[in-house]
Amino acid sequence: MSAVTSGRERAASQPPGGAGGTGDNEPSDARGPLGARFAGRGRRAGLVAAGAAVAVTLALPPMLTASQLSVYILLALSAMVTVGLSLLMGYAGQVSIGQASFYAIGAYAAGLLSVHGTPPLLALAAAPLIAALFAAAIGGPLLRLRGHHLAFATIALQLILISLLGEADWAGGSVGLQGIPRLSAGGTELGEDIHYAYLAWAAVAVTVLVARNVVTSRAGRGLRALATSETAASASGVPVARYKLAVFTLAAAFAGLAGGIYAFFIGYINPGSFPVLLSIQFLVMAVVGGLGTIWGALLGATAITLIVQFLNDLGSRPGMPASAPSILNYAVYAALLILVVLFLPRGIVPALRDAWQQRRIAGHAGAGTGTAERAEP
Amino acid sequence: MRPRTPLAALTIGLALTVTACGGGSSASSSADDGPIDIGMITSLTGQLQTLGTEGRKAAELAVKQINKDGGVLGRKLELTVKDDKSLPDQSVLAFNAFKDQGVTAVLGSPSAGSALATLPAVDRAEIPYISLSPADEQVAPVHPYVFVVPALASDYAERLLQYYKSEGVSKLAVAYDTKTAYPTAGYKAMKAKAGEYGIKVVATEEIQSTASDFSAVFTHVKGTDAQALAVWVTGPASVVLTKQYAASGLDIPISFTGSQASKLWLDPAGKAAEGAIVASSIGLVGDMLPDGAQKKAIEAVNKPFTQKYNYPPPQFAQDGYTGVQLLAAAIEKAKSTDHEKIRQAMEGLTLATPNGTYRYSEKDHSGLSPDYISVNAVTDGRFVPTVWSKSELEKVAK
Repeated sequence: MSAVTSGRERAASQPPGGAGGTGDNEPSDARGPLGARFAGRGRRAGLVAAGAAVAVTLALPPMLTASQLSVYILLALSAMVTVGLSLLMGYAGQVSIGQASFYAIGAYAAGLLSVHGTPPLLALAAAPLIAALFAAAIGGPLLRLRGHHLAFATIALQLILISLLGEADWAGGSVGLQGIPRLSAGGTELGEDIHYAYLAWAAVAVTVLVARNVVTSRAGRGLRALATSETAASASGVPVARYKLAVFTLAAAFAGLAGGIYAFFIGYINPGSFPVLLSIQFLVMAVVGGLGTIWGALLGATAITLIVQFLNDLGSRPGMPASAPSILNYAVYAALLILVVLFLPRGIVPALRDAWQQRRIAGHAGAGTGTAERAEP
Repeated sequence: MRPRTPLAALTIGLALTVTACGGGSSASSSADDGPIDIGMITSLTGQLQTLGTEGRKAAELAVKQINKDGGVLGRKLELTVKDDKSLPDQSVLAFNAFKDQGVTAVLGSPSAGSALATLPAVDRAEIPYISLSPADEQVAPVHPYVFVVPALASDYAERLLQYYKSEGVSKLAVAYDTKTAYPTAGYKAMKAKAGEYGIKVVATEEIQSTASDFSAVFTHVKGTDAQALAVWVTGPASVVLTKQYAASGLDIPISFTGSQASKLWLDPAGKAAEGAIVASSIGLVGDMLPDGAQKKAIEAVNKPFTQKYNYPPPQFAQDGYTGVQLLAAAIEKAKSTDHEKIRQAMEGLTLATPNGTYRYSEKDHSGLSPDYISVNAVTDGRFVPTVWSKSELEKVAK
């Protein structure tokens, strides 16, 4: 559960302006005049870089082969879930090891609705809504738990869900739900994988924008406050329970939307598509990228997806011994994760950000002093 | 000031996607004299790791044997293996990679979830897909390019009913794992077909493969007039169930299916397994068959496999071996590596293999009849065909 602690410590150890990965439009006084100048420049550079990232994201699909394209789509779906999870864990300080439940609910909602004749687009729109409703309904009692207890409860939630889905004949039972149509709107069918790539990344853009707006809003500040100390936040007038539930619901909606796209993309879902391991993988993505940073969620999802695919590919190469796939997929993967947690305990993005700031400060050593305290590890 | 570096890193990360994942489209097999590329999706990690690993070993063995004998159409076969981690979406990824690679055909995963998730992609890509999963849903309705190798759950159900009829059983209790696809399909088929054999299912016990206490099942069955208990379950739970059955004092015979027809069940179950009825593929009892074409086909895989790995090939291995054989025969018959021509050749294919003689047709993409399933009694720690089964197998083994 080091993830929780690191998320909280992070939020606690940072001045208000520093906890958000993006956003924070008001320059904080603590930065001093130089800090403000950096922020201005940084924002411009950030916009340019964001533009570049969007351009690359849009330009990639036509250049990818079919297999790379499907990895690209699954990556986008993981990124959406991870953005939500990072928000939940990094900002609201709540742990979920059952985030794949909402992914599953979204997938089943979209799949079942479309199999029973609902127009696919409507079914897709219903996926995040139903996942959010579900989260709102169970969030009340669930979020009374904290730390390890909440983590266990979310795992239990997923185990119960998988169990119920396996028994439910109306949802295809253990055999799964077959014959989910491809997405279509107004008679045009999204028949090609490349359409799904654009759809998935458009959905990522939506989640990132929504998450960013939440973070920079007044409520976002309240959230950061409650991650640091619930008592202090509630004493300052932050409606703690309501905020926690809101973020939990939002994260579930993100996962639900990703699940909906998953159902249409693969065209078949069964309870085995959503193992607890998947939830853990989302958690790992969020932690490796850096909790409480939106870019961290995207980077974490990208890094883990690529590493997993690479190890998978390597293990089944000709000439590899029969035990290679297990060793690479379990041992090497685990070793890599341990290394990340040991050397980048706060995640890749915060580590990179610190390194970048150190450099700038070194460059401006003679010029100013205001940012010195930000450079403290 | 913050976002610049992470953004740059993300951009690099995305750019890496292009280079890092997948081997890209390499040599296509359309060249007329190069090797014939065959893809194999299997479960090298995850829940079905054992099945997938054994299947791969035997498939590689079959490719080696075929290449040694001059290959197919004078060209060598080249097998590329990808791991689906027993996860449905990973199987789709692997299939798409094979599509990029331009493979001639794909051998599919032993996982039912993986197979069912991949079927829509197979339908679109129109690449022959030889499935190593026994799920009934793959062939009903028929998918034009999908052909199944293992006997289906419904075939096992029918064979066991034939056996029970021969034993004079008219009242049957069935216990099945509700959460796994294979046992559920088997139970449904058994229930649907029991009437045809004059058998009535008098008790249905729902069990779960994650449970560790099955004594309630035996108590319930004791309270009925069932003359036999048929169990449909997969995985380690079957060992626990077998031991508890032996201790329960239930005095009607118990039967299991192909999921238990391996050392993985037989060894840990030990003495408790003695006398239990276990249905298996014909390949598992090859050494007890009369000399003939069937025995020879089984020995072709058993001897070299045992030599190399020091144990006889389990069912999943024989399936992998058979899959390669079927594919090679279809390519040979089609005289081409064209997907559509292979599909047509498969539909008219009749071939003797370690699993029995396959007879695929336009309407039947499962190809194997229940006649090739052996019903065995565990005797001195071995699977030995029952008297009825022995005489039945002799009819088809010549």
